[in-house]
Amino acid sequence: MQKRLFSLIIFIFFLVLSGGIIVSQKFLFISNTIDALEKYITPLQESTYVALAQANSGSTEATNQQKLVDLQLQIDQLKSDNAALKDQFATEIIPSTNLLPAHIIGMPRFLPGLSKPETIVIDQGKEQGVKIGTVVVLKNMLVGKVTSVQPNLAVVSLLTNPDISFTARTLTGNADGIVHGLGGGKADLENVLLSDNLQTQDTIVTKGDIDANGQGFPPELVVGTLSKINKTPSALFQTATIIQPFDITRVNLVFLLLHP
Amino acid sequence: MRQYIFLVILCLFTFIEGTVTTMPLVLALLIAYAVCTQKEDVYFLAFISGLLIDLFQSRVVGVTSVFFLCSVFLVLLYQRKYEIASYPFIGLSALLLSFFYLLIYIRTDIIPQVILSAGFAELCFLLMRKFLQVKKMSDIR
Repeated sequence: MQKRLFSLIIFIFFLVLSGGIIVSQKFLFISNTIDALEKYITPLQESTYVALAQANSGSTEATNQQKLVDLQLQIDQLKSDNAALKDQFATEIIPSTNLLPAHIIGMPRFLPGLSKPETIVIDQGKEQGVKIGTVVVLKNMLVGKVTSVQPNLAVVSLLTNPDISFTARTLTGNADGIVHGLGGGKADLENVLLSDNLQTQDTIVTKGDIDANGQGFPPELVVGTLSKINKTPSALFQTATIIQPFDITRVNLVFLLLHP
Repeated sequence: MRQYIFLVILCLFTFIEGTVTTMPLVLALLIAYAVCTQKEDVYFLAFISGLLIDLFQSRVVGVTSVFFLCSVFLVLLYQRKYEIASYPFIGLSALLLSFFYLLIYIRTDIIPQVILSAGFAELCFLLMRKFLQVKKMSDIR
């Protein structure tokens, strides 16, 4: 009986300790310790992975073939990056000195044909100057904003994410409204006055809501085009469905708009 | 001495699980060790190996420890009711616990990994019985 009690106490002690570690990661000191530990562990993991991959690759011919494939992949990647960079820097609306290129390295919960991504993970983080709220663009188009940041990674919530909303206006009719993500790859322009003129195919751009800390969306970034307008005379406002001008699942490189 | 050898093996499997495979090798090893020794030090090993796996796999540090601790606790909970130092018990507990582990943390290729993990737990049990010289419940108590 005493042995069982002792065993139970030990179990509860370690359980509470684990719980304590989970909770205390919210505090800065322990999250810094974990980041530091991860820094030492990552190269170790990488070298093991490379060693195992080399051991699995077998003969020299197979290794050379693998190297060739890797080089071809690198060339393709560089070509695509070069094209994206050229396009981005040709965009006059955003000064290129404030841009930080970032590769998309993950799309959590994205299943091709079944679901659309609502967040993306990029390979730039705190150490490269990325902060929560940093705006992400592609040419002159708005992609989303950073909602979580780690030393070398950041999570970007896309426009279609239900947590995202900001003010925008239409280019032709100059009608103001609020862009609100609906999830499932959809977003709406809401709270547009009935007296304002909304037209299908009209382009929507950000109105600009940068605050004193430099956080927020800059003006004139393209959000999308209007596709379906819902105008009911009895309603207070009219709404419209937005179609984004690009498919995020086919994009590899995006740009972070850093403040100088 | 044997305990230290087990510790080295556990570290090795923690490293392998954190780097190259998603199969719950450490969980299987802990189940086999818990059944063989039925000592409280298994909680400490479950805690530390869980922390290391979380660090390796960039999870929230501590969540795997919680799962490992609860798994070991559940396994040891049956020691009064059943002959837990038996192959059917090891196989069944590894099967069920690996299934829940993979369902919670990995979510891909669950069935083959669960079967392999149960087989691995049986193998670990076989080797530990031999080297830790545990034959039946009466030897442990």
